[in-house]
Amino acid sequence: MKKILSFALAAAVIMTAAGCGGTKTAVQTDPSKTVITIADWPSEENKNYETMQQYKADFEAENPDISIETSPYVYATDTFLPKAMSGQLPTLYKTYYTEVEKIINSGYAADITDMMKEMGMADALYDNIRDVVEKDGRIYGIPQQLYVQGLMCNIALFKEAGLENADGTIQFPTTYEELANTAKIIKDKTGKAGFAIPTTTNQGGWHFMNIAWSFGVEFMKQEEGKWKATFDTEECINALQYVKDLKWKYDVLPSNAFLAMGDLETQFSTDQLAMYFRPADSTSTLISTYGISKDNIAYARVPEGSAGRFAQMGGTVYMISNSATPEQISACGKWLDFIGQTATVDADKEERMESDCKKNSDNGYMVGIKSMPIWSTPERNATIERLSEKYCNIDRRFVEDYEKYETITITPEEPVKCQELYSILDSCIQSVLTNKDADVAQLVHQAASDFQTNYLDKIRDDEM
Amino acid sequence: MKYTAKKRKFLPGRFMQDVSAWVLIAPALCALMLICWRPIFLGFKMAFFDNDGLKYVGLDNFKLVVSDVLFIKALKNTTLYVVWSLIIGMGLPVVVAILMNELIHATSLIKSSLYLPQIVPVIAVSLLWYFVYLPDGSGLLNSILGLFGLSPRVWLQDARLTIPLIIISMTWRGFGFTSILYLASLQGINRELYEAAAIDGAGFLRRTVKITIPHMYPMIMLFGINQIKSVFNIMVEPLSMTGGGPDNASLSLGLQSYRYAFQYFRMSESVALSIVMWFIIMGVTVIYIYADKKLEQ
Repeated sequence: MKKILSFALAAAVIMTAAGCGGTKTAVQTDPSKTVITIADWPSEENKNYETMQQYKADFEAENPDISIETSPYVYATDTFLPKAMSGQLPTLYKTYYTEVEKIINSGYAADITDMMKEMGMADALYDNIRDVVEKDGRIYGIPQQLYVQGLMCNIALFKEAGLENADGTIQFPTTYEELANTAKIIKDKTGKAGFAIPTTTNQGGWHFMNIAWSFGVEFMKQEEGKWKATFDTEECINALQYVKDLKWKYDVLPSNAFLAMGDLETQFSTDQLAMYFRPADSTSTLISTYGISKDNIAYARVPEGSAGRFAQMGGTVYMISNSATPEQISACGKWLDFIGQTATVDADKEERMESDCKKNSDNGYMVGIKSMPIWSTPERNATIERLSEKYCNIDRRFVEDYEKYETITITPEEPVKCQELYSILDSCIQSVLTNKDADVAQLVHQAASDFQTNYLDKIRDDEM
Repeated sequence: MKYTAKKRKFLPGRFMQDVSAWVLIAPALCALMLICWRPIFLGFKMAFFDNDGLKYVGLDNFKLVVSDVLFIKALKNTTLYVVWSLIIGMGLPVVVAILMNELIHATSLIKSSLYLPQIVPVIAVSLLWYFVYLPDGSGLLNSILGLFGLSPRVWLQDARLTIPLIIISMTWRGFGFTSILYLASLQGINRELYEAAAIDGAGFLRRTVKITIPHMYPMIMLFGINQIKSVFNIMVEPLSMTGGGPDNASLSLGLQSYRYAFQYFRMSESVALSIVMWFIIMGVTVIYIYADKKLEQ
């Protein structure tokens, strides 16, 4: 009897354990339908939730052979790899220009060239944008947004420091020397940091590129099939010395030398920081998360250095999971077309784009900054411009300087090993910001040497 | 009565005899295999393949991580983490446990207070101490210095201080719990030994050296190995407090492995470095045990 009881108990334990993992919620989908999972889906609390749900319903009604599942997943470097390796990536996800190269090299993005050609998008991409999403003549991503780094300025701090013109606009710095002096005036008059550059998680190196290129730095070049680090130069020493001077000569940086982008966002939004590099198309986070008013934000072009005015190109890109079938790839293309993220525009898409524009304007986000076109289709670009003007809710005098795109050398990321380069530059920046006696020339020399031996010399053929 | 070992029958008879035990242990065994052994095996295998997991590359990934210019720096830093943890974190719980053992009143309150930091998540503790160490006037330490008219210090940004300061934050979280375990060990000592020593004229210090410490020694050694092992794998604290900076002054091997995987998407190299770390820890542990045995002899 005792044995029977213990056996029954053991069996019950197993049944329970098995039951724990077995109560998977069954999502019944019609096997004849193509199911796609769309990432970045807003939560129910989000202002865009209802709109997206309506788009989903309309799309599924229009395409009865496609079913959409939604996922709140937002790309992050520390969560992407586990998802990708375990085959859990959403079918359609969004990432940043800075990540595209390594995602393609890792094989986690599907080749969508055929779909792009079928939908007439392959030839509608501008060449500089096409370079970002293309490898060996094949396309792996659909750009969603294109932006250029600018100098974001806190209007309240500028005015408090007396950097205000007679017409109420503010005095933007136009050169790196002026940037340092402007930041110094703000620091002296308000006690707040005049300028900041992030220093961790490779973001320091990423921002440093704007300064370095403008000082004439060339980071790498290809010679006889081999990549060579070419930044052990006077120009790079001057650029890093400039960053060092911001700390030790002008004393305009925040006292904390370990800063990520989130720290800069917090400080800027709470009027603790006057300027940092940021593209104009990404202010919604600051407004929705930190509560800064759109009327407190101004944008200028990045300053001009001895070699010109160089600003980094950036943006967001849709990519499709490497495990997607051709039917799923096609369905993702249809969805993006439906929500107006492709090259063409028609009455329905225009209506949806207008609705989005109006909502953004009503919700207090910045509407009215001229964006850089992704597609070479005049009708679409004209529509975007018209809607931007119609729903403009900002004082455009505070952003007009930023929009002089033709005066800026808009530069894509370095061709190979960007993240590794940024990581090395992060260390250099941390050194000059934490050590007053840091030998800048030695740091640059060591950085170039390390980048060459550690990364460029070990580059694989498929990464070229 | 002479006991004769009964010759046990092999399967299936013996299995059937223990079937309840097997059935009870089966879920845990399956979970262990799926959750622990399988990933370890797959990870080990991954280190010998390229990042796509398709091409066998032999020891290439190991060569890459060991020849990385940051490997030696990370290894040196990791060793420093271990050394500082032994200096700061090993003696403190022993002292606290001995002092608590002498207490008569409020022992429960003190034990609870000491245990509290242990239940705070590592990331929260790291952020808490990050704010304590902030380099401007808003940092707690600098605020205290300010009360005495002293100028603020840069704390974590000083490359010479970064590692010990991180170890202090870890010790703050962990020493209380270790103290309580030591205390449990101390309370197992026969009180008559202390009474006899006291009658013989031994003071507190002498009683501690002659009775308490020898009694605690095996436990101290065990915790010592455990501390070396866990501190050698340090990753979250430098990641959240300094990002490995300034200028890689707090970069550990664990953080370097994290960077390979999550910043560069080079999982095979990340796993290869983890295996290198495993061998180093194994080597250190073997030496530690060998030295301990020699000392005992």
